[in-house]
Amino acid sequence: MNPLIRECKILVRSPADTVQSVLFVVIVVMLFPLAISPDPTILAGIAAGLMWVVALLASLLAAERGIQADFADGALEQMVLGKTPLWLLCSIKAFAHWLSCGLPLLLITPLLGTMLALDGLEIFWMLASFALGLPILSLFCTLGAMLTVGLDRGSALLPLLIAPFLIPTLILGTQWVQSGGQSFYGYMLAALLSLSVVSLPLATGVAARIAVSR
Amino acid sequence: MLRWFHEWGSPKAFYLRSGKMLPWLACLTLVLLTVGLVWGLLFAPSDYQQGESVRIMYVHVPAAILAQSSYAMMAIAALIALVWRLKIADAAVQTAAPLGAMMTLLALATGSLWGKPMWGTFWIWDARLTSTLILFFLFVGVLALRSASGQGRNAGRAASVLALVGLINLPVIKYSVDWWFTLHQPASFTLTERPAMPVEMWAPLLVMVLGFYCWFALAWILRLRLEVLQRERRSEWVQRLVSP
Repeated sequence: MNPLIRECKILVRSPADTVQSVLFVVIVVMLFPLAISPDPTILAGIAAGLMWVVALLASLLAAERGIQADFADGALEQMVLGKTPLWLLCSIKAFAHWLSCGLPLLLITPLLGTMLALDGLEIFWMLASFALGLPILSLFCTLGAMLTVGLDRGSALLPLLIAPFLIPTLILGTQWVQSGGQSFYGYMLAALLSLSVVSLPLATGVAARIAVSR
Repeated sequence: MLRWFHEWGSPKAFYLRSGKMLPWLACLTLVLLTVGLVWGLLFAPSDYQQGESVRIMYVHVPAAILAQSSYAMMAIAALIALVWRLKIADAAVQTAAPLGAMMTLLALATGSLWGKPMWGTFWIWDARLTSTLILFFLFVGVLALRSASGQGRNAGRAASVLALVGLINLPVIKYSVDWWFTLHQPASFTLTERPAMPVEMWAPLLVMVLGFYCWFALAWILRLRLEVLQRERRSEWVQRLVSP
């Protein structure tokens, strides 16, 4: 079966995973006005950074999902042994992570922005930064999940390993919104995305080989 | 080159050869560190702006230099472990990670102690401080992944991949933190812009940096020897070594 279709089918047949990501994000964003202040000026000031941090946490939380199951039922081993190039399969895995976590997040961004008192233009830049940045998070999360799959404390380990690598994305994305769309940050984010798209699936493929030989 | 690799790469040869080097290296480390510390702490002039607290530099700067270069050394060992599958390189990654983390922590701690009298605060989100903190977490990540991977034949490979990805990512992290800092808040403090240092100050600093490198090599080799013994405990040469 085409691996891309397979991932889509898994996604459609277990919508609970996607819903869980969305609910997590909405609930955590809701906590901030309660904890800090409902004052719109304060909220709008921290909104970009806050949404990026929540997106990062949601990505890390969803990282293991598809890969853990594939490891447990032997599908991962078949992928490593199969004829399809491993980097392509790893790219598809990252794409699946983006479909189940990044895309829904992108869709509810206007809602989150409204909750945090952002105006229309800021929401637009938020959308732009998520559009370029969330795929990078997905690629890194897939790598982290491959590195830790099958380990005893793998799921606890994953955020520790991967969070430092997500810092550049976080900084560039947040700064892009806060600077009101300065193109420098956009270009840098796009450069980071292209670099990640071509290089990370290769590393993830190596990690997958290691995971099945463990 | 390959032959050299082969000779040093075997755990037994490494153990026996490094044993002969060890006393010399230990003496060199001791001399360099003693000379550097006494010279730096007692005889070097105090700074006309910073007073006596500038002497923290003689520990802080070598620790910071070593923190960065030990990551590079660990990543090179990781590359060797991944490509040539040398057992000794894998053990080297495993033993370098805690040492590097310790060095980074020392740099952070001394930096924060230096920051209090100079800047009036223990911590400030300066670009360099932030990237050193991130470096610490990179070390901790490799360390944690390695210790969770167990003792199998391929156990160290995941940690090696992580170390390499980290090496490629370090410049990206460094530059992004720099941009974030420079465009985020005015540069009120710079760590590097000091009036050109007189010879009496940089000479002991140089001795200390060399001493730290020697200490790192010494500690690395010692840990590596222990690790080799533990991994090869069932082999004949270790048995003979332990119970003559």
